Amino acid sequence: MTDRTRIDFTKALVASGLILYIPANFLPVMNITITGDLESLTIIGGVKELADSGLMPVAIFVFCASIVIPFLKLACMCWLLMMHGSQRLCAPRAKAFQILHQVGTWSMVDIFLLSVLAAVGQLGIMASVEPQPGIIFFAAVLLCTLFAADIYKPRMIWNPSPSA
Amino acid sequence: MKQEPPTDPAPEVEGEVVTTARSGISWAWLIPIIALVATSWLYWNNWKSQGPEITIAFASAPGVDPGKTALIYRGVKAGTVSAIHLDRELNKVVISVRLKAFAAHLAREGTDFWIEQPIISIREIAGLESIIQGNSIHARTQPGGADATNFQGLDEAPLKPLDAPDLVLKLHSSSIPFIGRGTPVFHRGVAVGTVRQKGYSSDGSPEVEAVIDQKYSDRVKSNSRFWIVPATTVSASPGSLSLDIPALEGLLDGSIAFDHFGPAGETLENQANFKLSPHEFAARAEGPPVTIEFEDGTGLRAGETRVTCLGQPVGLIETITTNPTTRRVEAVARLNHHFAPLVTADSEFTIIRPSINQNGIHGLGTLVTGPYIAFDPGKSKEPADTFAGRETRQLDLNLDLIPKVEGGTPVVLWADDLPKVDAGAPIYHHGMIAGRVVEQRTGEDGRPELLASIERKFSDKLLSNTRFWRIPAASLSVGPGVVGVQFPGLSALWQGGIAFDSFGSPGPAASENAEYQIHPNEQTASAISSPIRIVFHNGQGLLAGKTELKYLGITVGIVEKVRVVNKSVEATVRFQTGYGFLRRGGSEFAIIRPEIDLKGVHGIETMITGVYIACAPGSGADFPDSFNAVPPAEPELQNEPGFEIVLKSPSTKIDEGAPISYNNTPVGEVISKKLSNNGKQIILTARIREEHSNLVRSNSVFWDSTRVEAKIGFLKVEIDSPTPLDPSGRIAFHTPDLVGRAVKQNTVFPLQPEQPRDFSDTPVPEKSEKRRSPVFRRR
Repeated sequence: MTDRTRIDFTKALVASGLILYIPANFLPVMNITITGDLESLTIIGGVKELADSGLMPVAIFVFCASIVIPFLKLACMCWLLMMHGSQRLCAPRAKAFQILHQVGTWSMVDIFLLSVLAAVGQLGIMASVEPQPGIIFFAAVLLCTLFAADIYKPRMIWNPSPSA
Repeated sequence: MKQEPPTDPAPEVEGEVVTTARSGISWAWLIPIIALVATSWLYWNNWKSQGPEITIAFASAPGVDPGKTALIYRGVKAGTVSAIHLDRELNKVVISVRLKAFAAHLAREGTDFWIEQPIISIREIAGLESIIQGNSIHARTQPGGADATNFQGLDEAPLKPLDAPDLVLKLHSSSIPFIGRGTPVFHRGVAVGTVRQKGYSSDGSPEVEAVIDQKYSDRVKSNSRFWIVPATTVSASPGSLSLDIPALEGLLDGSIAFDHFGPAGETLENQANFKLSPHEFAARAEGPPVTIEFEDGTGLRAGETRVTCLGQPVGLIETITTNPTTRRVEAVARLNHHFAPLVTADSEFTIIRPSINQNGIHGLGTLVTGPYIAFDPGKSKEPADTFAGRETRQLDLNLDLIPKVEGGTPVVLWADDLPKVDAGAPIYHHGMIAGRVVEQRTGEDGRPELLASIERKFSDKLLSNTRFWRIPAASLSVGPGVVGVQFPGLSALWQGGIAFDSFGSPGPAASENAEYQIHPNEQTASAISSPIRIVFHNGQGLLAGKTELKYLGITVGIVEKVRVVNKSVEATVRFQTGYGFLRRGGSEFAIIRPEIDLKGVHGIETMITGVYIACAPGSGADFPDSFNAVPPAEPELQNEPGFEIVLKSPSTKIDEGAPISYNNTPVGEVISKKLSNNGKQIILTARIREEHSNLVRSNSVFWDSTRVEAKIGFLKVEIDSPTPLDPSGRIAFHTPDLVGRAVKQNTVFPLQPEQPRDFSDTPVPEKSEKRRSPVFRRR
């Protein structure tokens, strides 16, 4: 795979991520039914719910993990792609990419949590948790960023077109 | 990364590849396109599944949440509530519902919407799923109807959500209790319909609208009779007690049943009118009306009194009217269709009533069921519809008893307020039936009298001073540890009785037709001494006929009369036989009331039994007929000679009567309280009992010990005022161990406001030690 192909793929994936980011955040990710009270939660709705119920640290954690970090990843990838070819700020870009890659390891934690919740939270009429389409989009965003970060190689920061 | 082989000599090939890559758009861009398409498709799909938005107005919309509450049509989610707002006048809730595309046709005229909420009642359990899923809006629709977007919601769920052309009947009655919406309608035990509505017909009588399921509608005939099945019937008869619950649905509310008796009539049109009978028996009594005239209609009840034939109920009194011209009661009866043809010109209708007296019991069944009318079919073939009712022959009790009167001693008993006794009531002597009441009558002077007959063998017990009293039917006696119900005997249980006794006092034998007063109770009767009067200053609690006189705790007499004479209360009392010695001159009488104070509780039993008068016999030789009561027992100190001292204080709450104690032992009392001449001091005169006068020494210290100390846990509460228990306060004094010199009468002592610290009211060894060395202690 040439570096150009890599850049193309990275760009395409980042673009897809940005597109999917919208439904991921606006569609409900899960339906929680507790004693007949159906609660349809989007990601931001879930954060608000957590904050309202007084679990501020958890709310902040989920907010960072689910909204801020995916967005920052996309933004960071955009920045890296825009700076591609330039020789400036090579060290910070490398550092940013390194952090991004490490954080990416944890990015699927939301999906994992929800899948556990949906599996465990089936208490018949008392309570049930159902995943909603939003979570698919959310997972798709994460996959896009993961693949984008994987296809983009840090050496391309310094060596934009080695074989040009 | 592509590893180029170093042996590749063709740079054109490589260039060509690069050119190709640069000229075309990388297929990587398919990914965002797919993402875009997926997102768009999702939104478009979502938009496409939405139907029109409709608004429904409800009077109230409990449990409806925008975004959550669903519109359900035939169990399928057909839409979601998108918004809720109030109308301008604030008297309606307007709900906007976004229909789904497939349910768009619900938005047409004739669609009903209602809010389904759980109904849990005995009659109906509905909407259970809304407990779990929350309330929802339900809809039903009819074919046809133009498109519409604004609807008026129903206030309550219709009983049949999916309408079928059922048979609707109207049932009328003069009153329709407990039947209501949802009451089941049974036909021979099969639930064939329900009551849809309860209301008033155009003429103002109540009616219920019953809906019979279509498949059962041919069961209703033109001659069907409808009746109310009561919720639960308890039927008791000798040897059996049965509880009859028609159906669980009708457990509390009852139900409606119908059937046709006799050949079936024609089937019916919708909206037919029927009469609703109060019970099955009334529904069955459907023969032509028969009028029966009675002289006395006592106990007859329209709709309840039965007509029986050979002991079996065959009909019912429908209406009862009183005819003022003929002065008769006209009862209209209807018989079952089997018996209606038997009503002929020579039929007889006899009213059967209960009759209970000493001679026997007749028609006991009617005690429970009320009177009934016995029907005796005649033999003639000629039909008739008006009859003269016959009465049961009343047994004349007096006829039976007159022989007894002849055989016994007649006595006349009178009372201002005649006891509730009837002819035949027993008269007891020492628990044996000695006679009977023969009749009640009014005497020559207009007072009520009882004529009684005492049997021969008891007539020698009848003396001129014999007392009669009434025995209540049953009496309840309550005492400490004892609650007893007494009734003198089964025959007296019914109406009580009368007893007599002479209480052992001899007297001349009674004359024929002697007259006696009936006393209200045995106590009054047994107090047969001549009355004496006792004058009280305060007669509180005295009750004529109730308050007892007691000597050494034994009841010896009773207060007969209480009246007010010259600002005092005069009680007329009588003693029982054998207690005449209490009437001797010098006898003392005092009212005993409950007393609770710090010194103790006295006469507590009078709180329950009321006050009594305590007696103490005198020693006089005379027998006066009037006494002055002794005022309530006071400590006899006041009259006792004592050692008087004077206490001075600038201010004190101590009052007359305050006890003076030494080492917690009362030794005297304050007998007067006054101001000193210059008005600056309060001077209390106290009297110490003679035997304790040597306790008062020149160095005695007096203080006000009214203060009550209470200790609650760690807190120490001091109440510095006379308590209700101790209204005049208390004084304590102490004399040190090194006694001072003796003092004369009327020596003046200062009254300390509180106990001096050097002193303890109850000296303990250590403290007396300290008291002996005050210098050491002060250091």
